[in-house]
Amino acid sequence: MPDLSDGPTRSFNRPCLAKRARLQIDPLSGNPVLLSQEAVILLNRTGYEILERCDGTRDLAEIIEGLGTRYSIAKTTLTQEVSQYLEKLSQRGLLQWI
Amino acid sequence: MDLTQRPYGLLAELTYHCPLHCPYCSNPVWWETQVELDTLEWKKTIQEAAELGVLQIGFSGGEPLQRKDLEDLVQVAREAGLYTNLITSGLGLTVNRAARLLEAGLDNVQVSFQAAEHDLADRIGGMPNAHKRKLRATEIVNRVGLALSLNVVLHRLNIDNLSEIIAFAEDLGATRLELANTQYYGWAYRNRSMLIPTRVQVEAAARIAFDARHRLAGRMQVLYVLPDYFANRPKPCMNGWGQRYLTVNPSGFVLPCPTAWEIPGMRFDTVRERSLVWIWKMSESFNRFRGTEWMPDPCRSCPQKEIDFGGCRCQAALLTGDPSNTDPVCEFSPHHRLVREAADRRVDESPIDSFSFRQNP
Repeated sequence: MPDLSDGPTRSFNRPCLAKRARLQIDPLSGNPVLLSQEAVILLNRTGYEILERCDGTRDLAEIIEGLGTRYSIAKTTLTQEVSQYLEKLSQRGLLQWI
Repeated sequence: MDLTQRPYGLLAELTYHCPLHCPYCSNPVWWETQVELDTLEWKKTIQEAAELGVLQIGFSGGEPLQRKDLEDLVQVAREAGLYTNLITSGLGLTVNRAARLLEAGLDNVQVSFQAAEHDLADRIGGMPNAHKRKLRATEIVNRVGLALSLNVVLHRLNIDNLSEIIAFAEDLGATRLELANTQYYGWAYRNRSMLIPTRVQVEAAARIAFDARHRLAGRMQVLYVLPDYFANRPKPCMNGWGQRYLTVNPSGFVLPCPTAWEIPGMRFDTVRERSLVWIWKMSESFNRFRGTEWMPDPCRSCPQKEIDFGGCRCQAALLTGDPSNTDPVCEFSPHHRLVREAADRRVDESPIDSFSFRQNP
């Protein structure tokens, strides 16, 4: 569990799944899902690979870096898409920035 | 297994015992105390639910903390890969118990409040000092590091304080606030004339909830359950009968929705006699209103039938006497005036003492 207390190390640039959200593989279909109270979000492979890296230890650049080798699209496009995706989940309270 | 017809959610009603007496309780009005499922029976039920495709379980009641095996059941559910939510009044939650629930893998705790204000809350819940104890429970949830959400049932007596309720939930550190307008079944139906808000109240509340949802996005998720008596189209109840959810009640009967128990003439199967898979797929009760084939007009010929599934079967049964009728909330229902008249009726200002408070089994 990453340290969520306010302190000198806190810079709000590392995304972390909210306490109330859980990333999981659906045993029936084998597809990744993001679970929270009364909500099941079906993820695609890319979504899963992004969220897997949202553990509070990496910033956006590091997450992109990790994905970069697998995706052939331009880095600026990828950065834009990933950050939009994370923003959407933050708005739903499923992701926090620490 | 057909993936389009798997349940996602199981509501596990562990017991109907509860220290509170809320006059809108969703538990059955008529309930003869029967032997509750034991730990082993619940474990088997949870495992079968996971095999059926269930991804989420809500431990509910009554007050689920009254079951000493709650932690064991949470652990079994987590091991089966389910998202676990505890739906509680908060009464009976100690630091030790919360720590054990966290360790068992509990994902979320939803605490109910009757109002934001002490005196009103205790009078609605029918229990002195309950509000104070609930506040203490939320502190414990936060302190041990569990995720906290709040649920407040809205009605004529507390809906005008919606802004205060939202601020209250923020102060308590909730990550989600469910503002649920009373649904008029069971106990709430008995107390309907005193609980039902006015149209003016409902419209003001909807604006406040809408603003809060946007203002608080990312900090606290605000959910507002619409009061369907004031709508012209029915809610897509349970996302369709036997489509996504199942409820298991304290003695093991499996229901397509928590209030289905009170539909006259329905017979339900129990996990003591049948597997959950059989009940989900084959039972008469789950197939009775599945899909659209059972629908009479106006639903049968309605382009909305795959969107609202004809509304709520329990409401149709309660208000029209026949569960296969169109939900009278729908403006095309020949019974729609029953809902409209109740919504527009003169306010019943009887004192709180005259509620028919929920009696405990």
